[in-house]
Amino acid sequence: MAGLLKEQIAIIGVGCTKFGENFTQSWADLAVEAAFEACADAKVDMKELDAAWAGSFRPWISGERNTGSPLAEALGFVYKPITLVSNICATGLDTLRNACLAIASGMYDIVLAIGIEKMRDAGPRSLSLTNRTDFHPLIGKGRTAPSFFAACANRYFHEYGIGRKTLAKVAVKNHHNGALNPKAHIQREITVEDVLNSPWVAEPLSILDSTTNSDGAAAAIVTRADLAKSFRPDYILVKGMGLSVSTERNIFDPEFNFLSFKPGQVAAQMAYKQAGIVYPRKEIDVAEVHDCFTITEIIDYEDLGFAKRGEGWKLIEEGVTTLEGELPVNTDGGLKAFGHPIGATGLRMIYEVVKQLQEKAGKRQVKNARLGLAHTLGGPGALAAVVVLGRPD
Amino acid sequence: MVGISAIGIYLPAYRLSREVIAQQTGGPSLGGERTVANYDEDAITMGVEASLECMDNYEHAWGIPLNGEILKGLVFTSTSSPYLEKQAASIMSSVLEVNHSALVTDLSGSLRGGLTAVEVGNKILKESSPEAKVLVVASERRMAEPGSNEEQAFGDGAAALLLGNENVLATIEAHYVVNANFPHFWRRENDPYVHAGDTRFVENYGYLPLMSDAIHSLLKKVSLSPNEIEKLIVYAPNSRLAQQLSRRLGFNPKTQLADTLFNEIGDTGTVQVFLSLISVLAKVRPGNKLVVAGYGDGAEAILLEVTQDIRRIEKCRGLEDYLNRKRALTSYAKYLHFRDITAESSYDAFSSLPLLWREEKQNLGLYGVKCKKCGIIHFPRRRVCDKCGTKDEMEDFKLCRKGHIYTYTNDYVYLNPDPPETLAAIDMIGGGRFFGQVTDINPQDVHIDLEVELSFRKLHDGQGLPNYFWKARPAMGRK
Repeated sequence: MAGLLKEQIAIIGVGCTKFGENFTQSWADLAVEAAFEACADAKVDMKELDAAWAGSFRPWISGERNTGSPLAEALGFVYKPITLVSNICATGLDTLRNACLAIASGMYDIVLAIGIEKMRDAGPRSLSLTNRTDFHPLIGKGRTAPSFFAACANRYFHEYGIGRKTLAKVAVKNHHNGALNPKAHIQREITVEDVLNSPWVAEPLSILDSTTNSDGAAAAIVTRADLAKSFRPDYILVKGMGLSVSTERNIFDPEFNFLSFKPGQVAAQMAYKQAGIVYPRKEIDVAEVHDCFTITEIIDYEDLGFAKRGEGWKLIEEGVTTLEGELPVNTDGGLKAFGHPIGATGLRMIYEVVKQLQEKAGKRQVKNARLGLAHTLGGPGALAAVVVLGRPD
Repeated sequence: MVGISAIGIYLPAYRLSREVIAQQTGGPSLGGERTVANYDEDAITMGVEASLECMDNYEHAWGIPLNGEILKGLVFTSTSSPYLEKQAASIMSSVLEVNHSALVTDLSGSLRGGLTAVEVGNKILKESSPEAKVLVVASERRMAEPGSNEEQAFGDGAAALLLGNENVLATIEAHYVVNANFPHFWRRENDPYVHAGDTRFVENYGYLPLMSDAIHSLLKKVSLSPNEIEKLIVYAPNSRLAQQLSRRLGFNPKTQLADTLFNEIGDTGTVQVFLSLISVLAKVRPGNKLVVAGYGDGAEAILLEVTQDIRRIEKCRGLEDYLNRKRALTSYAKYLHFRDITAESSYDAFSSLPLLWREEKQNLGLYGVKCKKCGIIHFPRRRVCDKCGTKDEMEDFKLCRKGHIYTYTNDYVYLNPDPPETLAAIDMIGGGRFFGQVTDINPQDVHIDLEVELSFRKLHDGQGLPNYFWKARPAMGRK
């Protein structure tokens, strides 16, 4: 049947660098750290891997080519199949998805999925200002990631009557989680007042409503479930994967309401169908969702079926998604505090969900997590990827 | 008889007090304020605004839609076109969808260009069918040296006159021109700023004798004396000189001389005499005779007679509407930035001549498409409908330039000489959505449902080209 995996896929090792302004590290250094940590975690030698998928949104801003070669160079992983994946903020999860599909095809036994983004060799605003100098010279000129999500927030405020304080609580929650995480870019608690008083990025979003510009890499070693048992007992199953890609010209679509992102809903439905999930709010134990801005996390709740349309904000107000809540979200700090090196983010989420399911998440460990979700959203809500992971037992 | 069928004005929103300039540069203030083009405006964008306004005004005044196809000519005049080589008028004719075989041209070099353009239009129309029209557009964004007299005196803006054989507010009765090689203002190829000659010399040996000659000769030609003229409308670089000319010719400066608008707008070069004329037309009666004179490399004058239809001008957006929408530019530094004097107001971005050429209909003409099968309006244009999947079953759909804000933000990260940058998704009247920058707006004034209209602006200078497109601005409304 279409839309289902024929083979069971497993993750047997994960690795993740510290995220941050890693001025001492190159794109290759980040790749080395994440890949070798994942191999060590899986107890496999790099040479045993059959192929690799490298996710990097803009490798050229740190001087790398947009091909597979920078990864071959970094890891000494030469003469093997390497494919570069680039799908804006969904790059990391799409990289994993491609690696999983290759395993499911039966062509390879063990492969590497790695996301790397070296943002800070370019300027602090380089990502936003790309929209100024690149792409279509006229159409949508002036749009940036902050301005798009700010426009969503203003419409959300208008429709549902909430304000900046509710958004600020998303940031407070994620900073709290990040403060418990030694690999997070920002390890500092903040208050609602801090958020409300921080400078504007794009009204009504302030700096503390926004993610960071970080360097980082994260990786996973993927194999067939029947092979996974020979590596470790606590391997993690990939239970569902969805990718939904639409147009970035949705901002010109008279039917687009700036309140929900259909790719997020569709990708979730794809993954839920494979994983057999019917009631996501009840069945999922821990989730990493795309919180590039505070408003995005609230809309994500609705797109993922954690809350009804227009009620995502209630999960924040009611504490449902805190570490101690019924459905903890962004336990590692999220994009907000852990950081957002574009191509690495999806695999960083996978790293956290795997650690949570393996009960190795340290101070951030949630109780009895058996089913976890990772979700990334790219462009102006133009594309999204969702992956559901579960314990084999 | 050929006459003026409609008028159109465009004044940029910003005003800079001459006191602010004087404080920053030293020396006395000339008093009042001047108009300043926003950083995204130049002579072409303001010319487009005045032209669109003029065509809209015609429709409101006469109840007849005006299509660019009916234009037999488009004459653009300016001494400050952004292009030295290449027509500005051809860009405007694409936006206005002017008939491809119309006479489309630029008249540059002389501040008298507006009057010359009217005469060109007059000659074209005399040989055309009764319903033919000619659009004459003057627009200026002249550059003056910081600290100079001209920096305070100059103003930016545009004005358009639609000429026709029928449906006219005033007829053109006579024309007289005096040519002379007299450099009063000039700017050579590599000069960033306009030069002006010694004031006492150029006024007494250039302006006063040449203008007197043209106006006196015009009156003599039609056997009229100054007391038979309702208003004398002249270009003058300052108000004092206009009064001097008026007295010298036997006109009463208090009752007969039209305001040169120096206090509110400034010396707008080729545009000024049109603005003065337009403000006069709003107050005259049928049968009134008007003398309009332009200056530069000689002088040129026309006689107008107001028709029975003059009250139709009340349906046109007039000078008051533009004077009222002003925003104070309190920072002289910002003014210098807008004009690329202290920093570049524009920037280099990806662009491509073939791409702009391919998409001209969409980007300049605002044409999207409508899916014939499901009815959805796509702007930008696409071949395959993302709603129903139908391929190549689209019909052209021109976006209305008016709409309401669906949602918005003020972005403080995007670099812009006039931060923050306001962005909005706009539901256009009649269908379709536009997403883009909002200009000429105070950030605290943007809100959901705000009525806006699209305005032609320069986005950047990618590929060494002025990349023109549309932004939104708060709607000005219409009486």
